[in-house]
Amino acid sequence: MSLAVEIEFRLNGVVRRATVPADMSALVMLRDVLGLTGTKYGCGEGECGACTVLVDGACINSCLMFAVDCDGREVTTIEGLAADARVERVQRAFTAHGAVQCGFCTPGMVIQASRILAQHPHPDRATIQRGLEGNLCRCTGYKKIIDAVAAAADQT
Amino acid sequence: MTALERYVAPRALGEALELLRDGDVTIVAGGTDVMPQSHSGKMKFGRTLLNVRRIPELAGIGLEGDTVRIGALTTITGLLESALVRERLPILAEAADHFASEQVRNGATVGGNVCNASPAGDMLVPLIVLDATIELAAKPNGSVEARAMPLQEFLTGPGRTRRAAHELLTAVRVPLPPRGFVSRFYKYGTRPALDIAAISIGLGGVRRDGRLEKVRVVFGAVAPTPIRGAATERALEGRPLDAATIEAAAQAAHDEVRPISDVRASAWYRQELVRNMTRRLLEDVARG
Amino acid sequence: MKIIERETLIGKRIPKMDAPEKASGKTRYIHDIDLPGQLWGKILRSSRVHARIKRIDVSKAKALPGVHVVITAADIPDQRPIGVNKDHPALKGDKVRCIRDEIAAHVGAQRTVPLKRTA
Repeated sequence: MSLAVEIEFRLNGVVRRATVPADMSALVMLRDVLGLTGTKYGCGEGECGACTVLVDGACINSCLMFAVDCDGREVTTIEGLAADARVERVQRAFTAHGAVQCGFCTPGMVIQASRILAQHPHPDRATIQRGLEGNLCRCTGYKKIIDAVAAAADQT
Repeated sequence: MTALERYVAPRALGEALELLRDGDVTIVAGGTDVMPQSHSGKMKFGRTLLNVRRIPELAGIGLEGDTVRIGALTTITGLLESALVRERLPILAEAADHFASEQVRNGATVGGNVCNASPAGDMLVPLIVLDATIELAAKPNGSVEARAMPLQEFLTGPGRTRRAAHELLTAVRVPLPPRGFVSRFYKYGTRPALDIAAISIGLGGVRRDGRLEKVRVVFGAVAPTPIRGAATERALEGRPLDAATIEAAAQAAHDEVRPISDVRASAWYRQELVRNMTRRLLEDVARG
Repeated sequence: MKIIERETLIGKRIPKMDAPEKASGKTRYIHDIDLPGQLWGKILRSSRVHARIKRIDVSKAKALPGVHVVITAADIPDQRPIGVNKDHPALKGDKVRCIRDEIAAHVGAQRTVPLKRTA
């Protein structure tokens, strides 16, 4: 393996240690080294958003980030948001509004949507659309996803 | 298999500069260019991977007299969140707003965008409109030395800059625009987000009595580096911003760019876009 | 004869049963599965947009360490696609009509055994 680096970081609220190749992406580390497969490899080049995770509270394409750069930081994946009230609301809205078909884009969409709502508690559709511009969906045509995010907002 | 033998994430500028002195270093911050370029084979790692993201001297946006200092580690989101940038350098905020996606904006840095030196680099056009200067630091002989140069001079070709291998870009400096300065930025792509510009246009000038003075026009993605539109500027400088002037300027813009045809657009199409969008931007300025 | 009342299903919005699992990231897709002893498949794709396939020589690929099986269209002579699949069989034998058209597939023990065209 190419140069191995030890890192320590907070993953889904728990301090974890990992030894990763220096050139490995955070996405590959999360999926293959740490077994958290909820975050998806869609394109590997920051175009589709299926790999979206939270790093120090901000949405990041984990496929573009170096795993070693997680050192000392706080990383949250879809698995770590199971108890987040806003995320739960978004997930329920996605189900209720038919916003899930194959579901591959959904974890990334859910994380991104919850960040949109954190910054804009009552966003209009244009704001939702702009907020989701980094997340691609091949199935739904987006309308129901936007419906779901709008519905999740109205509940606050 | 990479050539990587060492990974360092220093927390001090001096340490980073000493590592750079050793040579064969790949610098990384957000990774939004380094990662895909290493996968595609466009870039190969050197012996050392130097993560500069934890160096405090590279962070922050601040006003120093009449100059805004933008630390190299400022993310594109950081530009959007800065009241100073939004209020005093709106063309920069406008370009930042159309940069990739929020996920990319949260990771990508101004320093990275500048050093990547793409002919279509989103931040480069507005920074040149604003007459930005870049700062480089090095430690060739035991103490930190700095030098500065205009951004336009720093960019020498696609992916090429005047940064020496042992130097690190530390900041971009932008003078506060004068009173009455108006500016516009436009980027054309095939989709609303995540797009590399087929063309981009930045313009700025001081509006006085219906005329534009000290005009700066910059075109992106139509040459190996972003370029000043000298003929377009001459067509505008000091003239009343009426339909005739705007048409002449748009035509000058069309004639002075020499774009290539590539996967994003043909040369002909790029020239048409430059003319039409220059006209539109100027009409928008004229409307006030 | 049991009559299903109109109001029970017809016209009702029925949420997709697997939507909650998908939204929580729990659903496992092919790439998420990692079973002991499993093999990994990979597709060799065309870099040409429209080209005749004259010949595919898989001997070098088969000899790579860790490779169990390499197949091409020649190994699936009875492909009888219907409808749109007539233009788009699983592995292309005569022509590629699109960039990334599938030419060959291999299965190996290693995750990242490379499969590259050498000609």
